[in-house]
Amino acid sequence: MATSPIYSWPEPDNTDLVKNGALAIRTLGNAIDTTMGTMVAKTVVDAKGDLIAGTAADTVNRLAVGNNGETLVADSSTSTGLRYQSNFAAGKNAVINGDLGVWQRGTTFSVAGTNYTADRFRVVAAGATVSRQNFTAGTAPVAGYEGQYYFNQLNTANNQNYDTSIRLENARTFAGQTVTLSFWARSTAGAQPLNVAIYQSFGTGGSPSSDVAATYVSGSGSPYTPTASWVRYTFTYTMPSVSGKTFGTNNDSYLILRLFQYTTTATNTSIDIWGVQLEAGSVATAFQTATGTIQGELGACQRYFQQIVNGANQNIAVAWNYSSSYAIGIMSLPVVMRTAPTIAVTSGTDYYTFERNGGLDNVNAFFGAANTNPNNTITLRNSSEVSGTAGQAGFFFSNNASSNISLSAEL
Amino acid sequence: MRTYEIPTDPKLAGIIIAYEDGVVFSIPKDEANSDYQRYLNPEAKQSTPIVIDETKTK
Repeated sequence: MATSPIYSWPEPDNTDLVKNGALAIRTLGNAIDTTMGTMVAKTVVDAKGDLIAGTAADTVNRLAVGNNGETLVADSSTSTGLRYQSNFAAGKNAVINGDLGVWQRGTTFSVAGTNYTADRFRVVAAGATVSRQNFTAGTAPVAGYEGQYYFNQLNTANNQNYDTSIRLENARTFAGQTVTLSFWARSTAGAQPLNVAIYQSFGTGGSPSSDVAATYVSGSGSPYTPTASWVRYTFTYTMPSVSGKTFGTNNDSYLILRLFQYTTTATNTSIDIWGVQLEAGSVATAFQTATGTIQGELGACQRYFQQIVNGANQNIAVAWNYSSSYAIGIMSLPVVMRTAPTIAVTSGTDYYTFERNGGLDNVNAFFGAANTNPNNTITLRNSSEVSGTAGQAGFFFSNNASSNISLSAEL
Repeated sequence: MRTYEIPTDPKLAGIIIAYEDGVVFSIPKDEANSDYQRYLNPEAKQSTPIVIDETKTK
């Protein structure tokens, strides 16, 4: 018997008797019917861009097209295993210094109160040591992203509250959207259940005056208890709408990303953190830094904090004698800061030097003033230890290993 | 313990000076500066709330 060239349906031969035609047609019809039963009906799709996606073995369903600009990603939690999401090729991660690459303030901190440690990482602790730790090459928790440093916090005080968080400028960030916070964590000693949360804070004079918590949807749960091995923990939230809220007039609203908080009943709890990411959507995608470059991350951090001097023999600023007993130096900042910064100068005998006119004046400290709008320059002044002649020019430099000048425009 | 001083130098009229642990802080009188807010409102909260609303976080 002949068969059709593609589906091999049975066909009568040219020499078959006419009396057998009805049976031949019936046999062919049944074969066609059987084949059609395995095919996808065009009525599955309803609109332009719809996709036909498998939902199980030999089972399909319609996946409606996403919004303009969205990309299709795998998502095992959906019926089709696929999901459209907004694509943030750059700026996907709202967390600056999420890979713990920037530590302008130093690499070891004894915290008894509130301290910024690694850039953007704010620690509240009665007694803790925070330090920068190095990944052994090849042991970073993400294949394909070789992290260099991670954050370690060793909490040493008993019966105290610990709170480590990151503040993201502007409470409008992700308002009304689904977001996912993710990071890798481990606890190699004294593991504790750790609370995690996201809050909106509406700034000085804003309303409500108390922080507004985002609604937890799914993920690793709060509290989560890190194990001794690196694990990526994910937390999906619905961010509250800012409709009806009032922002303070100082542009100092922010989001609080609480990475961990607990009140301990044990001492010497060690917590490691790396790879912090906050992104739109309900899935933690591959980690990347906020800016994608080393210089970009440093510059983003310097919007909030700048280490100007840290140690001896570092140039500070061009300076001149305003009068015989008053010297002024001015410096341009590498990055415009969030607001006029606080200038912090570690003082000590002869910690700094004014070199001018072939001579040196050692000074103990400076007072400073920052430019406002744009927040791009500062002046440093001394009227206690300098001498000279009005109009003489020179420069300030540091003169002691403990010399330290920094600028803070933190939230 | 941080102590504050109003500078007498008219060229520093835009700042508050603070001293703490051997560090001299020049704090601009800028409402958006968190150190200035701390000077204005020393009793204001300095950290995120401690109490967790379990219905919102779990």
